[in-house]
Amino acid sequence: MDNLKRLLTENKELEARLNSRRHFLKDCTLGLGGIALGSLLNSCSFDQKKSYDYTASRGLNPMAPLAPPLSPKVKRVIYLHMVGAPSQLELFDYKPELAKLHNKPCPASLIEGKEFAFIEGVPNMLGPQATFKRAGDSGNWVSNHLPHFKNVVDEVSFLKAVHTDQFNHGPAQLLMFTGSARFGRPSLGSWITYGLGSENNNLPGFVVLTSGGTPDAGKSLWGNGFLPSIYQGVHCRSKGDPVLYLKDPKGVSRDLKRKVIQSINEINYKEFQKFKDPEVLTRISQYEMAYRMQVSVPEVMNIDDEPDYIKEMYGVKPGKESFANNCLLARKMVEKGVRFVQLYDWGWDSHGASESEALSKGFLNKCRDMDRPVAALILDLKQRGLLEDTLVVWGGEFGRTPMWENRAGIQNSLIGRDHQGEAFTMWMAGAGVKKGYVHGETDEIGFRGISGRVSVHDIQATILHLLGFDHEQFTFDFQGRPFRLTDVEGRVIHEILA
Amino acid sequence: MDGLLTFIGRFHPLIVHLPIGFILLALLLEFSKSKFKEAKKVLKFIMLWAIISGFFSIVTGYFQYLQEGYLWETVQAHFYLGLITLMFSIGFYIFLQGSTILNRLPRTFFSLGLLVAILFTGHLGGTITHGEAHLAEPLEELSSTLFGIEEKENGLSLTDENYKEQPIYSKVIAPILSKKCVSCHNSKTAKGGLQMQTFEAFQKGSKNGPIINYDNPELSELFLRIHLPLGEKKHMPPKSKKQLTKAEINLISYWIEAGTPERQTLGQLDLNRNLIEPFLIKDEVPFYPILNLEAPAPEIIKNIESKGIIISPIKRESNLLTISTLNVPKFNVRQLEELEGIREQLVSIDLSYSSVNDSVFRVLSEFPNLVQIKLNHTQITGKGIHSLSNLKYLKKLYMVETALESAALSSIKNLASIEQVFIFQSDRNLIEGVELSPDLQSILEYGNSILPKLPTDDLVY
Repeated sequence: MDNLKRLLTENKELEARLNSRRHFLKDCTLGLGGIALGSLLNSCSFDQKKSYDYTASRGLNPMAPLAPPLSPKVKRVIYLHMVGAPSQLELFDYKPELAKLHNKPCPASLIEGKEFAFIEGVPNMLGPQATFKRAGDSGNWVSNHLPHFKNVVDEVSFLKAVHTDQFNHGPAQLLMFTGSARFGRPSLGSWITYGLGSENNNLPGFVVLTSGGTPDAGKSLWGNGFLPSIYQGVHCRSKGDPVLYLKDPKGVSRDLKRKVIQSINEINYKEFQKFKDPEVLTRISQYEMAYRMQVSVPEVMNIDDEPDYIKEMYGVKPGKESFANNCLLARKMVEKGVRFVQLYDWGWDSHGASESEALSKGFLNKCRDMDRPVAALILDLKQRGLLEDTLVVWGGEFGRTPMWENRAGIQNSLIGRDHQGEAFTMWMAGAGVKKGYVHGETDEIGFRGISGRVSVHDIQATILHLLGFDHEQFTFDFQGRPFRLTDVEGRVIHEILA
Repeated sequence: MDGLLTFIGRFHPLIVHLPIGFILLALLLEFSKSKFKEAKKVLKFIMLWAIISGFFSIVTGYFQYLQEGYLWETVQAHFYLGLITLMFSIGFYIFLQGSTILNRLPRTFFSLGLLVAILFTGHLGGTITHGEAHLAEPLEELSSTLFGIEEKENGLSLTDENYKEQPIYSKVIAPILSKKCVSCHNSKTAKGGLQMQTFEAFQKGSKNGPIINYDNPELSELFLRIHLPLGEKKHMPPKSKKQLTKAEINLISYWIEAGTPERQTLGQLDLNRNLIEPFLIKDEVPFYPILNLEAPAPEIIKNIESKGIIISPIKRESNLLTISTLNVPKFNVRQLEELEGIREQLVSIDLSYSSVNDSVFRVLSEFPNLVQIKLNHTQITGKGIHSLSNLKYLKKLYMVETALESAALSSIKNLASIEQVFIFQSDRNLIEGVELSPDLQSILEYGNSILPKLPTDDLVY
């Protein structure tokens, strides 16, 4: 019994000690001092630069244009993405050695331990399904599938040994445009509009145009991730209403609309003052933007006013949804100060499993529909002086194998190639990039990069660099840590910079 | 047999550390022997092993010299000092045994002698494997970072103007070789028997014969080895060393194919400029001039912004400003007066889609630091362009899709530092029937590009 009493008293004493004023003054002061010292030292440190506050620098307009931290070479970007991964071996990466190996079995050692999307067992090699010629003053190789592109080959810098670690469309596209193969990160265009804002008050800063179909990874490719939602891409349709539900309903006049929006925004603004939630600001500016876009978007999306020879140069198909129309629209938009125009052209997945996927059929149709508009876009940007501060990027999410695809171990009846992440070709043209240049080289059969290999993150780092950002410093705090587009990787490809 | 010798020889770098350790331990014991009871016995034991391991060090070292292409002049001193170290070790051991002759000498003769001998032998050995500058290099780097001395130039100092007069070997090839090859292929360390420090030494080739094949340059040993993939064992420089860049490989390949000329200049060889381009030192002229200007008062900026004009520095924290009136289609020439407060800071102005007229040129000529002017999609005809001639930094002028008249083009050449003028008009060809001087032609971008129709355009596969 005595023991128990003693224990109880001891416990009481202990409790009292922990809750006493004496305990606080005597024992806790050091801790408090430490905390104080921490913040004191922090404020003294001269080395640690405070990160730039994009939100505070903008006040109430989340799209206000801001200057980048470094001297920019590029003010706007047009990104042409060939959804499905075009075959580099039929377009730019000339491999005469591969022709000699045509239809011979692939050496087992070459694919040992490698994983493919469809290839199983030992496939046969597939020689280039194109003829190649040197083009332009630079003498860079271009295939006969791109006759018009030869006119602009001296404007572009090829990256012939791009690699990715994803071999399925969705994840590879996500990696290409958000820096991560998983969902949830902001897209390239969102990062750029977040960093630089938008110049034209009446148009979105980040526009997405699709042709042929929606990319496999869906709208996440132009999603804002954890950035405020104002920075997500606006998907415009090139057929029908450019932006859905933008038109006023019948019987509603523009004045009435104006009044409605004004009142809603006033209420929303009160909400913002109360909670300071940036999403409320997004909502306000989206309402205003939508109101202004009712006039400006149909205007900029209208290609009928262009002179005929320009329309012919692009090869537009009025009234239809086409990549050519989108290229012309892209030019019109950058001309009007749109920051980032993203084009997706679907249908490049040339497995050889069906006619539309065959290198001898569907692929050729895709090439024909892509060749003229791309060449026209570069020429048109150039003659208008837009290529002086616009960057054009072309690529797919990965490349294609030098092997003839053998789905489930049986060679596909039509000619096609499987997915390949190890090596594929992309190019950039325009401001800040060398003209008529080639960086990187693949082995004799185009299976792997042997020099100048660049990763998807390197490309993103380079685009950000040209726009005036250090990709390692350009971050956004989320869930307790700073995030960046290039994650923990990326190296600026200085070799192609002019 | 050769292989066995090489194999044994390669143990040298491992075994040498044993006598070093033993001798240093012995010396430590020797200098504090008074503290230990059995010091002498232990000392003898250690010295015995120092002698044994020292002997094997010398034997393996000799094998390595025979097999790995080191020159006698290089290893000579190291070899003799190694022998001397061994002698001292034996001498010390006998001294400890109690020899009548050697005991006449003072004990410190052996201990200090050993210390000096082992230090020098070790250092010389290190010099052979790591190069002479191995110790000095980091010190130099340290001192240069401490005192802010610029890094030494790599010997290449070619510019666009002078490169044609430079002899190819001494000014281009030799600096590359000395940076990437000579540390292993020199008169001291000639790996594979190859020396590359001079043109003559290089011509001699390696122990397997010349490394240049003049009949068939592409089969030259040097050519092959620098082109092998990095993973290959015979690739040069070795994987762990600093690699040749693509440009360097291209240039060396060219040089081999041209028959390794020595004194011919790049001009005489008619070298393709693309090959030499990466080596030229360029004085980078920034697009915007470097001007020391004060930042304009925040109220001035605020006032301009309130008019709907986009005003932003060329980059964060710069005092040079750019302006765009994209969102103010009614902007006219009179409103340019509102920019008086940033007259000097303004380097780029975009008045595209605004309501300015030809008097814009006169007003803009009062902004002395303008580098870029955009007047696309305006009603200007070009009358008055000549007033821009006092803008000494003006490089780019955009007048696309305007009412520009061909008559105005001739005044463009009076602009002091103009680089490009964009005059494309989609509804007419401005330069049709106009005589343009070649100077002017190189500045003007008049466009009117078309892509001719091809039969394949309509082909459906």
